[in-house]
Amino acid sequence: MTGSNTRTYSWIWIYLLGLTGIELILAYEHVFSPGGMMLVLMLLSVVKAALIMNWFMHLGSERLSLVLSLVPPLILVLALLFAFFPDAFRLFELGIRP
Amino acid sequence: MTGEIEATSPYGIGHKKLGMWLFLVSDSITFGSLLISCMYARTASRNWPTPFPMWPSIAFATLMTFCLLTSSLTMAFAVDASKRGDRAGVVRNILFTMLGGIAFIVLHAREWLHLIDEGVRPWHNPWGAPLFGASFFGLTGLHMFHVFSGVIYLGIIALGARSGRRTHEDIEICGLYWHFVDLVWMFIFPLIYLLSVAPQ
Repeated sequence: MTGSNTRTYSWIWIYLLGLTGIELILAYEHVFSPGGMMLVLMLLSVVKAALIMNWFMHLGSERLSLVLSLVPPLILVLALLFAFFPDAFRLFELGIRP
Repeated sequence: MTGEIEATSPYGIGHKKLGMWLFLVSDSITFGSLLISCMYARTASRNWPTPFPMWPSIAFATLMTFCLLTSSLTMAFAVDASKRGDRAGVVRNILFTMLGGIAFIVLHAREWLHLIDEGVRPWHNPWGAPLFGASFFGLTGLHMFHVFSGVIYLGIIALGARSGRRTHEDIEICGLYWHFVDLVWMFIFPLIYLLSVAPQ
């Protein structure tokens, strides 16, 4: 099995493993506070998801009409779900045990 | 056939592939809701449990991540082989992908049994916030179900590919599903495991 695709896929796999390694080190060293750690880990996960979607799922080489029909609505829905998130800080301050 | 699809579909893909993309978007919202509710509970709790030591829990979860990532790589190779018309290559790579999925399920089942043995239930655990169990079993259980379904789906596609009944599009669509399962784990692994690493 030779060819540029094989090499590209292998490089993406190595990047994904590398990013996982970075996440592991951050968790092992407890580099950030729990809130900061959640933010950093989720950002790294978004990068990993983008790599998978673009290279393994080939979304980047699909027609723009498909990408625009799928991705912005999904991002909007997930962003709207986050609208409730600040309430978690209120609960934390109140010391309620969920 | 591909030219015909490109001419008639506004998206330039067949209806089966479009159906899979729409399913994946709806599934993303399901997993997104669960992940965000888990993050909410985690942020709101003062006593969120941190029961995962680096060895063996995090080491095994990392191995599970390696299995899924590698299975995604072999799935990409299978789609590539299908594009070249290499039927044996498709079957071989799909079998490797299935192997990665099965290894993931076995390792995860071991983790589940370990936590159940320690007294973790969806409504209770010995360490703190009761929602930890619901978040853990809910998220990982739904994901494990997707992996299990994916392994069966891969098996069906491999059989079809061997006999020549499955087209390149079928293999590509199966690949989309498998990569999605991998993608979701990229969020579950840090959120469930890495944010609950036991203090040294």
